Amino acid sequence: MPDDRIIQMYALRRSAARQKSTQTAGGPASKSSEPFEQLARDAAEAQRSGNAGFAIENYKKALQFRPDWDDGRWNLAMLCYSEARYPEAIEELKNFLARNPNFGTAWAVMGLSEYDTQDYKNALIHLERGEELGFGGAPESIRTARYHLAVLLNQDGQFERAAQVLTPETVSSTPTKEIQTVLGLALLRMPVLPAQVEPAKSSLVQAAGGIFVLLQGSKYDLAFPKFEVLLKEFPVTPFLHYAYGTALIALSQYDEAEKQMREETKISPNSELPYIRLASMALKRHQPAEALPLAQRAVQLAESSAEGHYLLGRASLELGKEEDAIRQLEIASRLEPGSPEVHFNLAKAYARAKLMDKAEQERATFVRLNALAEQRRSQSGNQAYGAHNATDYSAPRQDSEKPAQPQRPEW
Amino acid sequence: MQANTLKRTLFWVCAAFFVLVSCGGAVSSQGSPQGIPTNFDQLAKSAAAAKEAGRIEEAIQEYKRALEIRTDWSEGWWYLGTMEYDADHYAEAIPAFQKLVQLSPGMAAGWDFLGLCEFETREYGNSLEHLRKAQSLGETDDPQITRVSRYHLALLLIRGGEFENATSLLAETFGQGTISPQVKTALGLALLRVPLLPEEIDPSHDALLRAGGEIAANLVEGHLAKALEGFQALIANYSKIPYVRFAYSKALAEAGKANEALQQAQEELRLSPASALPRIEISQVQLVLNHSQGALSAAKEAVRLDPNSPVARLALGKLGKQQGKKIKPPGSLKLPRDCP
Repeated sequence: MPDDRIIQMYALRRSAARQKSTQTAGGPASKSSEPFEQLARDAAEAQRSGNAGFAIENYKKALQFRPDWDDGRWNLAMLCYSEARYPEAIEELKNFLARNPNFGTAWAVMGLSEYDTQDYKNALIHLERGEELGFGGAPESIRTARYHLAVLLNQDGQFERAAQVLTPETVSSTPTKEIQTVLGLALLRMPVLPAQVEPAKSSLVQAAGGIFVLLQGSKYDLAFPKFEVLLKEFPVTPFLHYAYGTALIALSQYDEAEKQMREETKISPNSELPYIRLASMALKRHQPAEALPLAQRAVQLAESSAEGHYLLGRASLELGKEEDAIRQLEIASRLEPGSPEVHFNLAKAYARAKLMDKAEQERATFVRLNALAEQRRSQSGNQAYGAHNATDYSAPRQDSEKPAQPQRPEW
Repeated sequence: MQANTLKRTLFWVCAAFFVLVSCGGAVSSQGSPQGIPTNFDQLAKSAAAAKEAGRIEEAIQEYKRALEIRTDWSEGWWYLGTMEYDADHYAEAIPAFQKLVQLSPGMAAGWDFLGLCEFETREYGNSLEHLRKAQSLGETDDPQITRVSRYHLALLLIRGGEFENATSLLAETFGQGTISPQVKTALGLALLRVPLLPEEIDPSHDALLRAGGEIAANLVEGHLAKALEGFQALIANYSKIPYVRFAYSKALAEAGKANEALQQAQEELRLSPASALPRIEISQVQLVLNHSQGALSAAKEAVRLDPNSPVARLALGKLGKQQGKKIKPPGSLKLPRDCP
């Protein structure tokens, strides 16, 4: 039995005026276009002369006559947004987006409006959608959208993504204090909004943000002394040792990096991250026996860590434990199907286990994914801190998309 | 899979043979044995060449002309349909696929594409029927077609309120790999029992659906503990949303936490007093807890509220079976035949 409450609750309500106009014969939509034209002119004139309130009023009236007038709806939404009338802006944008779902800028403005009404979860989804579809507008507007997206990604615990979104802001110019704060939060892996930072921690966060900027510019010689100073002042801050250790790994300074990671395991005993770095370093130094328990610990702490399973698989493979290796690498492949490294090692493991068909299949997958990864690397060209991890990712094909180049069935 | 491929290959060999025979008959009856086939062959060749060269509009026209000569040319309908589909000309693709499935009713991919085109033109009833037909014929040689087709079939099942069937289909099709955000959204709609398509949803509910989708994906992947954690967070953020507690109750019951499951089902009853579902759940959990009287009254109430619900009637029937006696349904309702 259909539950009408549910439809009423979830369904997008198109503009009330539109429903009215289609239902009521002789309603506003069926009258002459004269009042509409006049209202539209008045609205545009008021907007040009900076009389936002009057413009909003006239756009609303005009849209009662023509609910599908996209330009008017967009102008109305923008005016509501710039006048900080966020709930109204959101409603207008919903109507606009119902007719123009691929307009990234509108999703971004909706996200910004939701941010201001503290609906952070929807704001994140809609800013991300806006980014995917492409932000437009003035450079300052794009910066605003990116900044808020980064803030929300950080709050959601997507620290690497948050920093990545802000990269364009740190490359071309000196980042603002606000941007530095977000980068600092990302470096320290603090999933909070900038406004939620305790005053006692604000200098730490700012300093961490400054270090992050140096690391993004590959200025390790300047960043390392700052790490040392910060660690002296805040020796038990979670993820500071981890961040320093990660930077040291980028320069292959493994002994010092190991020290930092070991410190981090004491401060953050429930995090898999330092164990993953330690296991990865052990493998780089051809010490699989050391890597094995570290990777096992990482997986114990985070069973859905693709990187943990990958490293455990590699360590097992190098220790001649093919069965274990295959099991772990298959899990990693399921968790992260777009990683070339996982498929490369899985091919090796299958080959050693004499499963040649499977090995060949994995090798082919590796070649395909590796080519994609190479292409992306050459496009981004970013080799700096945080630019890549032990595994590489590629977006799997979306299930809602059309089948790619439909193949003729076998005749 | 290999057997299926072979079957299909044989099928097409037979179809080609059939086409040749029937075409030969038509030609001879017109008394022009050479003219028409040559013309057809030339058109078919130039259509294929245009297609290969990426001159799609030209290829479409050539296929159309060739198909005017030989309307029973399945391969031609296939190419015409897929090219129209690829060019987003869904309304134009539909007649081509209709003709194809008429000629080759056992070809799953033809039904898949017909259903997908009808989905795009919003002929949801036809789309559901044809995507179901495709599914009943099994997988095609191209797994991507099957995945896309089943995703859309699941959306239509959700739209029709067949939430459990949709979830099973999505789990079966996508449960082995990484579950994409689109599939998670569909799973979220099914979990929250929202009979709408994703584009019909008010964007203000996107976060709720995403959270529901994450939980449903965890359930599909067998991460029950993670799913239970997700439910707690969902309830903390959306305590008054219907069917969250119902779904939570089912997950708790699956985890063997019958008392907690009962509590959540009772909470759902407060939120959805007119729905049979929480009562069915209460009945089932009460049974696990050996509270047969409570189970019986909840099942009877469920049947009274939704006499057409097979699930409710089955719950009552099962209860009778377990108790070894015939249970009289409320009013003059009949129980399913398999009830004692």
